[in-house]
Amino acid sequence: MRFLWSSTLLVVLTAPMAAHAQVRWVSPDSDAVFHGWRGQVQELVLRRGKGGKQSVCLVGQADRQSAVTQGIVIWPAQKQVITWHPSTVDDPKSLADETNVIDTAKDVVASDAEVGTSTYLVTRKWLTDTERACRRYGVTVKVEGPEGRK
Amino acid sequence: MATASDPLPPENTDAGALVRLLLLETIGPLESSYNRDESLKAMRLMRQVVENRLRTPARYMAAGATSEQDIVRLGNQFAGFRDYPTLPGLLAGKLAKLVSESARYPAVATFIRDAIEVVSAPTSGAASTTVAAWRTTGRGAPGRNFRLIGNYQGNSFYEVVPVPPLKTTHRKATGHFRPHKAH
Repeated sequence: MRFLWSSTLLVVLTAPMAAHAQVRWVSPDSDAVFHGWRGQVQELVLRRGKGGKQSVCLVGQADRQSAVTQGIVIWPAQKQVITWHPSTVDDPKSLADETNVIDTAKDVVASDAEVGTSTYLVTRKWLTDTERACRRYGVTVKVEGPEGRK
Repeated sequence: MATASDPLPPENTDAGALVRLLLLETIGPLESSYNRDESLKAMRLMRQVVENRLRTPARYMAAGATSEQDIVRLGNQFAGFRDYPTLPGLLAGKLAKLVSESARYPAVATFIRDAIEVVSAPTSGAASTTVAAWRTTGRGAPGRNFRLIGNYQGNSFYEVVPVPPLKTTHRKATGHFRPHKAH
């Protein structure tokens, strides 16, 4: 009986956390899916960025439930956070072509209530937590943007 | 009308809007985590979300919506679809790339065919009929009133948690409220 109570309590206490706990941060250097990430970041900045040196942070996110691994690219100079699903056919532009983009000037809101049922808005807290995780688990590189583009 | 060079349904139709939404919101076969079975599950859930929102559009920032096209366009709910059928350059480019690659990669042709079949089937065939939202996995839930159903191909799907009815307290008609004495 005691075991039943304690196991029931454990389930009740851990269930609400499970959805978030399934996603864990990984270094791009530790997962082969991100091989060639430096070239991808360079191509991204050259194709979509402005001139000048800029820093870009990349961190991996592995979802245990669905076995999906994706990259999160934080690019302050462009005010963008990009969710990147690397290509299987060695496409050197797969990051530069990525369409899942958060515009941090428009798509970041103060509260969960403002996120509502949107598929893409995020909270300020989510952004802060993600930036922190990128600094801790990811890699930050300085990349030169295209000459002459402002 | 769909052709071999452009197999997608016309963009100004409900089917056209839904197929484009599914293709743009789901991981494709040239992306590393693609899994066809999981992709089909995700697409079916997405169709069901749009259908469910059409029943109570005001709840999803789409008051006045009378069609699936309205649901994907109104309320800024789906990234890039606010001005549909006009799509931002990146999204339009991705669709064009998918269509052109379908001639080169059979898996891409299958992916597009799957989206069309999910949209044109008599029912969604989704694992949940109460699914009401999805979010890119890892970006958090839509709010406290939503419960996670599952993660499929880079998206997390949620259903609305029913709000329990308010408890009413019954008092005698002539009685007065008296606080309990502290023991």
